[in-house]
Amino acid sequence: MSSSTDSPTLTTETTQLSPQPDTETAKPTKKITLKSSDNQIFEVEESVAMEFATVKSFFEDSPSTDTVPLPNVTAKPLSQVIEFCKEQIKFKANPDEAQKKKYNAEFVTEKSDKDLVDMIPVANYLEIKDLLDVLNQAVADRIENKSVEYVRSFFGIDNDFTAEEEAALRREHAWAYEGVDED
Amino acid sequence: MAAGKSGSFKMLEPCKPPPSKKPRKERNQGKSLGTTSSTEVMQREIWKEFPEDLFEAVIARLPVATFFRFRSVCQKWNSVLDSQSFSQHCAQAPQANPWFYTITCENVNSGAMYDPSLKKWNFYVCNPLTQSFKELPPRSVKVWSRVAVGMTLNSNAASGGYKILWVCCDGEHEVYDSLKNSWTRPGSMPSCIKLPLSLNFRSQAVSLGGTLYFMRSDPEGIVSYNMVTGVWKQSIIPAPHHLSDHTLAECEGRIILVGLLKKNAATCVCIWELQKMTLLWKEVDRMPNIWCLDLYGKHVRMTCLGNSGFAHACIKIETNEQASYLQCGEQGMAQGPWLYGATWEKAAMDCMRRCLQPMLDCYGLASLLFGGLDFMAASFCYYCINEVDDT
Repeated sequence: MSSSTDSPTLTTETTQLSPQPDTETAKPTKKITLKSSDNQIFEVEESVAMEFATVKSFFEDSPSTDTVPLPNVTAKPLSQVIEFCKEQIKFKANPDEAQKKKYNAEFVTEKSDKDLVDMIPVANYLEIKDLLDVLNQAVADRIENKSVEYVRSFFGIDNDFTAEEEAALRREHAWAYEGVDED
Repeated sequence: MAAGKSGSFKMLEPCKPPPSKKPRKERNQGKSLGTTSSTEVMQREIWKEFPEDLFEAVIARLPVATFFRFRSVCQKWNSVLDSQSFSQHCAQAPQANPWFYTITCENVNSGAMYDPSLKKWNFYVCNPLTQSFKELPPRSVKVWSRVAVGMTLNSNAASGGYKILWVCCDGEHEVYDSLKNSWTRPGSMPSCIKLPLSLNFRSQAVSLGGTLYFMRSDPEGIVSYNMVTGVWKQSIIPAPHHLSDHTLAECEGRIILVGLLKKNAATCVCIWELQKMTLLWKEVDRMPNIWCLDLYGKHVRMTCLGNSGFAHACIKIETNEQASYLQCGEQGMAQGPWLYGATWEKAAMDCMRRCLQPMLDCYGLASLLFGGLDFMAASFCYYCINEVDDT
């Protein structure tokens, strides 16, 4: 056993190396180029791109393609979405629900409202269900304890009730107006 | 297909999303989201164009109190309950799924349930969220007394439908299937069920999976009916000594018993869990001693509803006409925090928040049978019905 310690060290080093960085030195995986509406180029592994149902079905239609323009997706949310999908792929390979939950929670907590607002239509357009679930829940969590007025301004919604209508609604569900955070 | 398009990229033109895309997305595509600076105005603009059903997905994930509060955001949010797509989102939103089932013999606040033109009680399935209710077709048997009722969902999906069972002390029973909108009589009870069936009408029926559980006495135990296979079973389970005012409840797939232990002048609320192997009730928790002092020497009655690890008990101390309310256990009734002495509204509210939240899951398909109205009689909260008090 002890005599063989030297050679195994070498091999473990090399095996450790390969999964670590996803550089070109790793076994060649197909790359797909995504082009955002603001002309930023994102090169992602095929597996990541396939997380986007929209892109996936695009490829099913036109398999020879290697660049996909995403005309209604800007670079910033796209990069965040890619970041999320990369992690999800790792969890697919090594299922760890607790870690996944933790990652998903952290992913959204560090995002600004604006980030979420920008990402949701992207996740929806690209049809990334897991991400959409996480984002929608995050928005719901953020407004959960907020006032009606806050929500209106958060979403830019105009109050289209008459004063009487609104008062009636508030009376009807008066119990639901307890425990609201200060705006 | 798009290969003929010009441009630095040979494929996709802007509006060549997969065929499954809905028009609203194409509408969005017209906007170049990237060119404008990201200001508050911009945010407002983005949300203005935000597809309605994406809002719905967010709203579907709100707790029920928040949901009701936000109905006054705008007309659209107020009417979201009527939207079919919202129903879909609710069905998809991952939520705990507590449901309350029981029968009620109380004529409390029941205007919506009692049909004055027919001057009779009937079965209704009500959806408190839409404040709508549906009268079920008449049963083939006109048995109106000593009937226990339970309800199961076929699946979590709004379209899955539900089934309702009524069972009478003589073993007569009938199943309503919402998908067929009709009652069927699956046949007579097997001989393993001792008749007459002395059902405990104070206890709610509990639904676990596709099976309903009813408490019975003489002999003490539980009778279950599998709504999928149509199989009746009876388990003889001796009741704890000095037990009264008890009801079944459900907690994470376990069957729970909540009741009062009365011995001499002392009264305590206790929680037991059914040991499926030994068919015995094992005490898992009881109300803290200090609160039991409040009940000492008094005549105490309790009504209780419980589901999905959450029980709400209403304790009436009858000597001085004063009612106290007690609520126990979010985290599995066994370990949950005991709250005691909460005011009527507060306790009922907290209870409803939890109990009704899942209603959003299935509100599209209506709701359930539910009672204990005496402490749940707040603005919108009750569902069904049984019939005239015969106790």
